[in-house]
Amino acid sequence: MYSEDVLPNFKYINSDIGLKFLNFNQKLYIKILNSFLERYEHLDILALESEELNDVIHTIKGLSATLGMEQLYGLTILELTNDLREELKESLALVITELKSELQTY
Amino acid sequence: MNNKNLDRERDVFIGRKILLTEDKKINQLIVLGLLAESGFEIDIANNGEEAVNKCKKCNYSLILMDIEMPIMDGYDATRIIRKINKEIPIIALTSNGTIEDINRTKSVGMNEHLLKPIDLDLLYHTFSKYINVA
Repeated sequence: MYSEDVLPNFKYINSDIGLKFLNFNQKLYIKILNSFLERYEHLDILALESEELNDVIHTIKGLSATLGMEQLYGLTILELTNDLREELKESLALVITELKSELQTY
Repeated sequence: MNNKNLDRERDVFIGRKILLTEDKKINQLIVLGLLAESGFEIDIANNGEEAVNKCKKCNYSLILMDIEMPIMDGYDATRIIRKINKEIPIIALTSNGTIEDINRTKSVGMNEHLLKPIDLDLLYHTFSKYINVA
């Protein structure tokens, strides 16, 4: 089990929320964050067709809420427009960049 | 859930088999991680069709059912499972939480509608409600 002080100091991820939803299990939280990074690192939201896009946003909605990605989650619950797709891409990119940077030592 | 309550629940759940129906591996990892100390044996179905087939072969104490899945969604899977087993508790576990979503899960025969992110205390409360000690 990781101790409290080794959890990265995220800017775009509220780890208090993420830890709460993962029963304060830091090891599990880090594992799921790594899995999120692996799954969405190379995703291009703008390139997805309608059905796949809806599926991806639906999944990210649940995951971002669970993991404390508040800004990203806030976008997933809005009505989808072209502008929103751009915002989703940018918000996801911020989270991915942060995860790549902060999780590299785990 | 505090350790004392978890110990009590684990005594009830230990060795019991439940089915997690969920198509996304990362969501499977979350549920498996959260329930690692539950005492349950957790089998996994990657879509509704797999859930139906597994239910024909195995007597589960309870089913956790995602809704939006490829091949067969949670609604259709529940309709089919209810034709062969009217008693097994089926709990929706989904990000969809509108009144329409909740009414639809009830209309196809699911017992409860739980939301993601998972409220672990509520999930255990739901297990306790539907899984009794013989």
